[in-house]
Amino acid sequence: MNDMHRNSGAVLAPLVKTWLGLLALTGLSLLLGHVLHGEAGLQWVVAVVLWLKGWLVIRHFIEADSAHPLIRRVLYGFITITPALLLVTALFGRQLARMTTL
Amino acid sequence: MAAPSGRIPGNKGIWVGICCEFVEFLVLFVVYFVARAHFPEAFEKGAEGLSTTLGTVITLVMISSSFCIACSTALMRAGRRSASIAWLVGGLLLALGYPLAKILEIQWNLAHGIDGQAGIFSGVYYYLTFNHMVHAVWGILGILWVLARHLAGGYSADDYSGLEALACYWHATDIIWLVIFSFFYVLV
Repeated sequence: MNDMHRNSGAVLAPLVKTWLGLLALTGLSLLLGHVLHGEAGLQWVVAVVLWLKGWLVIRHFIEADSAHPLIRRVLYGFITITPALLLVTALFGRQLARMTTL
Repeated sequence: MAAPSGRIPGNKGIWVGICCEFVEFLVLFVVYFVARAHFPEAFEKGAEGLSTTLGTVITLVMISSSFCIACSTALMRAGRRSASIAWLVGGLLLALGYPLAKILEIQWNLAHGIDGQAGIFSGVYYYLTFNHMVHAVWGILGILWVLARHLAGGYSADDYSGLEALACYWHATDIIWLVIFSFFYVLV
């Protein structure tokens, strides 16, 4: 169907679902942050939720899947590297501290 | 050799800016991780001192204004100019909630002794969050400019690249905030 003839509801429905998903993930991350307070597993949960939220924004708000491959790589690279760095710090924090000591 | 397929959302210039923004924040996140690896206790205790409520308010404002601007872009593409302008105004009003919440947060922090010299955690926290607020203020100025052009009839269903470029920048700034929120307010 031509976009010019689609009604607002059909145009906005996927964006509304994405927004609700982002709100739900924000609530979930706060809840799990409270429940897993101080536990080692919290970093994994935070990393997964962060990746999911970034993926939702990139996939549905920026519509990266129809974008140029370089733009896709930059976006997905950014939201993959940041949670990965979090896990690296959680697993190898002492080694990282040693490596970066002057 | 065939050129890679796929469109450029907005325009090339905005993607140069977004790439620079990502590189800048990646460097700052590396600083965060190195500091966290050296002083894990300071980061755990420091995060407990922040206002989770105000951090959450900023997150909701960023997510919701990003959503409004995505709706504005989608509606312009569908040829619904008035609705597109209305959603853009909604996005602007929500975006203005960010500096407002940030001012309240800074007042709250200072009242609880969290200033720029309170230790390694607060130094990294202020550097990252102030930097993000600067990028968000640029985004708000961009929304104002795009809104003025939109009201003047500058966009159509066939040509809305300026609106889409602003939307991409704001979504990228939203993604960076989602990282900051996770690192400072959730990871306690």
